[in-house]
Parts: sequence; C-alpha cells; structure tokens
Amino acid sequence: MTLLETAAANLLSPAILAFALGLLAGLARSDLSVPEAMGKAMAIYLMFAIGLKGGVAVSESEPGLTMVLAVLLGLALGFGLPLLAFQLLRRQARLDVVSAAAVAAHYGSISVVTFVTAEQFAASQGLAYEGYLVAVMALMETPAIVVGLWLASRFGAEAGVPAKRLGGELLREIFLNGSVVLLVGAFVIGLLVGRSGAEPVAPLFDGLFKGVLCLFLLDMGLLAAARLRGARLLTWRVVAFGLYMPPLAAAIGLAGAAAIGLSQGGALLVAVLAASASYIAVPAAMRLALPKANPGLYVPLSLAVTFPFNVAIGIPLYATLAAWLYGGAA
Amino acid sequence: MQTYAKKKLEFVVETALMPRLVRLVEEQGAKGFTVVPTQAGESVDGAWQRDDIAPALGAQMLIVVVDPAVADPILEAAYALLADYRAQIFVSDVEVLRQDRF
Repeated sequence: MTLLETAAANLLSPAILAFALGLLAGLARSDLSVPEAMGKAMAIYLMFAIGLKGGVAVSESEPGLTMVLAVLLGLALGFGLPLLAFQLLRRQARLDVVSAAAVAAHYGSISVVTFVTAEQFAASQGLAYEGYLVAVMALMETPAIVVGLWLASRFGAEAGVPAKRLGGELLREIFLNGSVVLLVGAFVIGLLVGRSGAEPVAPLFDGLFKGVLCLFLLDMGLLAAARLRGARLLTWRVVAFGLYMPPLAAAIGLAGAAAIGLSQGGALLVAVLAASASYIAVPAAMRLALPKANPGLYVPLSLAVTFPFNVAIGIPLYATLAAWLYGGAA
Repeated sequence: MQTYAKKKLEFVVETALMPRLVRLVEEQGAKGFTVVPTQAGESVDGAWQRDDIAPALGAQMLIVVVDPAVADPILEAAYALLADYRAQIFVSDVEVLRQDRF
C-alpha cells in the first residue's frame, strides 16, 4: 500500500470523518456541541477500555527482555524528547524560556486519544502490537512534566513559581493525575482478570469502542475548532513546530522500537506515542507550576495543530515509515 | 429582622488553583465556602472558557462570606498565592441573618 492509499484508508474511516465533521461544524460556528460531562465520560471510557485491553493482552504473553526494553525506551523518549523540543522551540520558534519549557513538556508527554486512534488504524491494517505498550504509554505521561519544570528553572531566571513552593500538590498532579491512574488501574485489572475474566464486560468495552471513539473524536473536532478560533498566540514559527516535531519524534520512536525488536504494529504505536502531544495532564500541571507560560499558546498548539495533524496525516505517515523500516506492506 | 454585617469575598481563578485557594480560606478561618463553575469570560489577562477535556483554560468562582476581622488575612494570603496567576478578586459588604454560621 502506498502512502496515499494508507492515508485515504485512514481519512475515510468513520472516526476521522467524525473528527472532520466536528472541526468543520466548529469552524462554521454551528451550535453543535457535546455536553461537557459526556466528553469527560467518553474519555474515561476510552482510557479504561484501552487499559483493560492492554492488561488482558499482557496476561496472555510471557514477560521478556523486549518488554523491559520497551519500558526503558518509553522513559528515554519521555525524558529526551522535551530536551529536543526545547532547543527547537528556543531556536526555531523563538519562544521565551518559560514558554518553550512549557510547550516542550507537552511534546514529551502523550495523547491517549491519538494512541487509541492509531491502535484502531493498526487493527484495520491487520497489524498486531504488544499489549504492554499501554503501560508504556501511562509511563510516558509524566517524565516530560518533570523535564519541562527542570528546563524552566535551569534556563529561566523568571521561571514563575518554583515547583518546590507547590510541594505535594504538584507532585500529586504529576504522578496521580486521573488519566495515569485510570490507564494503570485498568491495565492492572486486565492483567489480573485475564481474557476469561474480562469476557463479561467485553460487550461494553470492545463492542462499543469504535462507536464511542467516533463520538469522542466529533467532540475533539469541535474543541480543536474552538481552540483554533481563539489562538491568537500561534505564530507561523510555532505552528511549524507543531507540524514538524511530530514526524521528527515519530522517526526517533520508530528507530528505537525497531532497535529493541518490537513488532511493526508496536513500532507504529511507539512512533505515535513519541509524536503525540498532551492536552489534558500537562496543561493542568503547567498552569500550576509555570503560570508565566500562557495556556493560550500550548493548548491550541497541542489540541488544534498537532492532534489533527497526527490523526489525519501523521498516523498513516508513520505506518508507511514503519512498513518501509520493517520491509513489509503498510 | 436583626441582620449582621459580613464581608463577601469572590474569587474567579483558574480551575487548577481552586483546591489551594479553598484550603487557604479554610486555614484562615472561613467556616464555609461555595465553588461555582463559569461558562466563559474575559479579563485583561485574556479569555477563558468552560472547562472541557483540556482543563488549563477554565476558571471557577469561589464565594466565601466571613467576619470582617477574617476577611483581611484571607485577602492578604490570597493576594500572595494568586500573584502570578490570572485571577479576579471582589470584596463587598453583605448582611446575614444567622451570624454564627459565618
């Protein structure tokens, strides 16, 4: 399959079309909206479902060296990508130190919904992946926050409120934020109950998954449009970063995944984890820790530039790269 | 009917900060408080919207009614806490019926 064919298969999936519908409706200022509580409920559903699925998959596999290496790779990406992003944001996007540190933290962390969308894409292409990557995803949520705060205090004299003044609150925000607890918790539940134990809840968590993802992406489209309309701080340099950083990070992730011996589907998902940017956990932590960094910069960049790029173009692009790297078909 | 003079303090602050602000007013002697969500707004620091999946842009409002002697310590501590953050603080005189509750 060529890149064009892979991209078309992705773009014509119901989930991506639902995202496009939300985006267009939002940009056209339609009064279409998804109730806030429903959006949050769907996010909980998707995170629980993907966590459970990963746990069940791991319960059926033997732990091995590749699993340990995948965890280390995830941590290396989580700690390393913000350092790269920070340099690019300072030099190319010309952001001040605090803003660059805050944005870098977003690009070192991950987006669960991008992962879920990629997982569905991988399934549609017949690509299997290692279930423990869900746990790797949860591990990758937080290191970038720590690195972002370190960058701000190391390189910025006016780094806002130092993390130490926020004490336990910030630490709790970083390590016990809802998405991490939910992903890890559901993963452990799946691991404990196994395939047969998860069978009774499968109609909810398997059967409805694709439909809920559609509705959730519709909401994400609406949110992205709203963020795009209010994004006055996005210069072309910053937008360019939001578009070239994901493929760059994905290439690094792919190379790492291939080096440690992950499957082609696994490599695609690691690439997506590397490429995606957080818009839930990291913004909340950055608001507490770096108040001088404007959320009007990093939320639209992550949610309205990088997220749409990844789900529409990035995923098939990384899949094609993975296929090329593994010498197979996308 | 007999009424009693109190101070009503209203804070519109970023959602992420609300737990710390609530703890602060309780530590300073407030006997109760109310937190209400906001739909949207704008100040000199920029606009905010209702909290959605990305919570960093949302704001909430804290309403607390206290004895005038308690109001100043709360305001001083809140001012220090909120110095670097987007926030609006309102102080007004109100009358209450049940003095022991505030």
